[in-house]
Amino acid sequence: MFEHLINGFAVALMPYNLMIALAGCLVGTLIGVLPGLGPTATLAMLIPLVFSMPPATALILLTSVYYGSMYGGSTTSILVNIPGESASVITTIDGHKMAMQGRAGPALAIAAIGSFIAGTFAVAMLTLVGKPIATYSLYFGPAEFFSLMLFGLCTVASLTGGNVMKSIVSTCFGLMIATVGIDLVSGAARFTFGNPFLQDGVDFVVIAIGMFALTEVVVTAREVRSGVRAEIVEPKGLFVKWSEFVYSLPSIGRGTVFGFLVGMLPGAGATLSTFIAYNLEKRLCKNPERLGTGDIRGVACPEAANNAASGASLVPLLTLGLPGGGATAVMLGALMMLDITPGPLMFEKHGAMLWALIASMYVGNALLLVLNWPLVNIFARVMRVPAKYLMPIVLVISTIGVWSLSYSAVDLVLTGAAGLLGFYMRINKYPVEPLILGLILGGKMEQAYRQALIISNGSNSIFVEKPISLVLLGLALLFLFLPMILKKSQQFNAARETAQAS
Amino acid sequence: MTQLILRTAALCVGGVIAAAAAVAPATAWEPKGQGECIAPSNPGGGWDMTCRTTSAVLQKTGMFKESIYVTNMPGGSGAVAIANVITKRKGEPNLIVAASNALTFTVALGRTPHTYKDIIPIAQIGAEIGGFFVRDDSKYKTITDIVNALKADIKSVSFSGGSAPGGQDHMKAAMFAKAIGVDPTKIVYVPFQGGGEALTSVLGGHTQVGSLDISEATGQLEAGKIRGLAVLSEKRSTKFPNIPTALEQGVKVNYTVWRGFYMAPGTPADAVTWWTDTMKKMVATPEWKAEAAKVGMEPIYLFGDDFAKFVNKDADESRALLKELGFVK
Repeated sequence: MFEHLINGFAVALMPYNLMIALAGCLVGTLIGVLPGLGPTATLAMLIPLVFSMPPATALILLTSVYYGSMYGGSTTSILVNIPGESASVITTIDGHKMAMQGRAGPALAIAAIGSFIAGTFAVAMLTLVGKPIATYSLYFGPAEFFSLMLFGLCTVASLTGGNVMKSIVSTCFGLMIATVGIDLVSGAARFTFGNPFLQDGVDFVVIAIGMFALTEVVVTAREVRSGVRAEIVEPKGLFVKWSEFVYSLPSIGRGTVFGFLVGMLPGAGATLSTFIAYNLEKRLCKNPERLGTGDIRGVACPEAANNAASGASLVPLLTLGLPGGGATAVMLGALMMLDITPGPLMFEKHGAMLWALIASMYVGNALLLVLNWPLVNIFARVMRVPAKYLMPIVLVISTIGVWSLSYSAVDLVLTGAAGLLGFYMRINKYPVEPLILGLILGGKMEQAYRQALIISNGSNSIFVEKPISLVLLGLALLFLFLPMILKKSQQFNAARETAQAS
Repeated sequence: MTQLILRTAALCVGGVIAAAAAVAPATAWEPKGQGECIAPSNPGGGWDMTCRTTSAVLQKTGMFKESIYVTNMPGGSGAVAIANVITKRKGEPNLIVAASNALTFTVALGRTPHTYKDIIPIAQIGAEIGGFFVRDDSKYKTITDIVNALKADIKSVSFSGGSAPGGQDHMKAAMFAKAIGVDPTKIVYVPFQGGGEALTSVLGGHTQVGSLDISEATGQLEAGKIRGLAVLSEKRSTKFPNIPTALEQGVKVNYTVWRGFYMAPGTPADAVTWWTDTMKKMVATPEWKAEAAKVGMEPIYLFGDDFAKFVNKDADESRALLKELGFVK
């Protein structure tokens, strides 16, 4: 195997391929930074280019864009509180607070370091045990998926540490928005009001830009005018201190493992993995109360998770020929156009090319780390741009991002509405992140639920009869009610102590 | 004698004029300027591939002199594009739009107020063969085993496919049920987002039979992870000739997934003729055959009026079946 890998490195390190990998990483970082442009759409746009390249080079380009985008996604989350990708929504919680405290540099840097460690771990797993672990993803049918996503939703209750009820309201609102469009099971159009643009549902980007970008612009304007926020945040220190690195290393490790396990399941994806990883982090780390206040671990953990997940989603694709999610489905199409039949025999038939791809992923992750080092420096300076200039620019870029989705005025109107709602929620302290997760998971969750019911002929017992599903449901209940029980018992203890004392 | 000469001369002149007239239509209309192909999907989707492959081959072979650019117009499974073409792009001679069975379902389900009669279907440039596939260790060895199982208990076999109910993968299963005399509304069909997910479900044992296109199943077939029980075409697939057709096994289902193009209403007749002829020439080129083989398209073609008749019939039949299944009122 190592012989194959070394041969792979020989191909990946050829100047042309190295250049393509670098270009792919740059493009990936850029689309990660730009809200609106996601990896799936970009990969699809690159497909025509793929025709004119040797297959190995083409694959290197596509994958480097894909994992590169996960590096870039955190940048806007941290700097301006707008997630560049759905997988970076969680990063806004601690990332943006760090930036407002003048620690944008360390936040960006730890995101890059965490991403590097997680990305490299995922490739190493693909190299060493790809095929055996990929088969584990086959155990997940509709019932298991539903329970996994329910578990994911239950984690939001503890996300922001605030009012649990408000989190649940926010989640439900997201789930409601997710019902717009053609229903996958009955084929009926729901809440589309006869508008064909709504038949495909409401895109995550439309809502996220409204709720994060528009809201942020208005809130900033208010805060700057009333003097709560200064025009410029002076950065304190650009890079991560050694002590901070050591402090966040366990979080990176946990984020990596959870991200990898969740990311490998088809359809679950990087976003879900960040929510689950952040929540588990809250349970497992020391001083969990610091998370959510601008703690560096709150950036390290989800950023490691989303990179591990994006790497992991390539495992079933490359070893079994099964797509994991949106972007990998596009890559599946690209493979076919390159005359590579996706399937379990890929490594036997096109081994040299795939090993070159794997080698290039090691190289690409290293390139991204090197690339991000100077970028951290540049991006951190964005914080010094006065808000009165920065915010209009944000507004323009965001609007273009929404328009580029399907050139539809409907999307822009929806973004505006989402902005209003986002502003209301922000003022009344409703967390926005649960709404986004509800929106992203809603469609898939409903689909999985109904698929499971079709299989079981309408019996809900399928969710408890399947062992994996049962365990996940149990965990979901535990995560939802454990905080309340602990709180109650603490209150009870405290009351007893006061009673004894008196 | 003079008369004869005169007559010969007249014939000659007539002949020349006739010959000139015969040549004239071929040179009468040539596309000027750039061409455009609308793909009613996002980049990377099936329609996008149809547009990009076609424009690449037409330019590579020099059949279209200038470039043909691809416009992506996603929305409502083709509903947005068809409305746009009919209302805003009438009579444009350089514009072609990608279509397939998926558009038929959009039309048949009434998700657009328009039908194939409002546009000009020009060519079917290939087709994909669908079939039924099971995991290698499945107890179902032939299509007859499935027939018997369905007849004994219709809920005992679950089908999975990559399209929504009322879409093509569901229709294949429903047609199959109808052909063997069981109630098509009672079959267990589990819809997934795309053939890949449906295949994963078969491999994981969550559903028993995959109702998929051969191109989606190729990798797993080659690896022996799944078996093909039947293909639903008239002839066996060129890539997997060992899988028998349903017709051979006595089940009367013949359904292929076509891919083709239509043009905007009001397009001049000579432009339509030019595009139809060009498509006819294109599918015969080795360049096209190589591209088609890559994505698993079978050489099944139809052009001009034949194609228009076919899609209208396809839409009517789909509508009738959808009505029977309760998707259309």
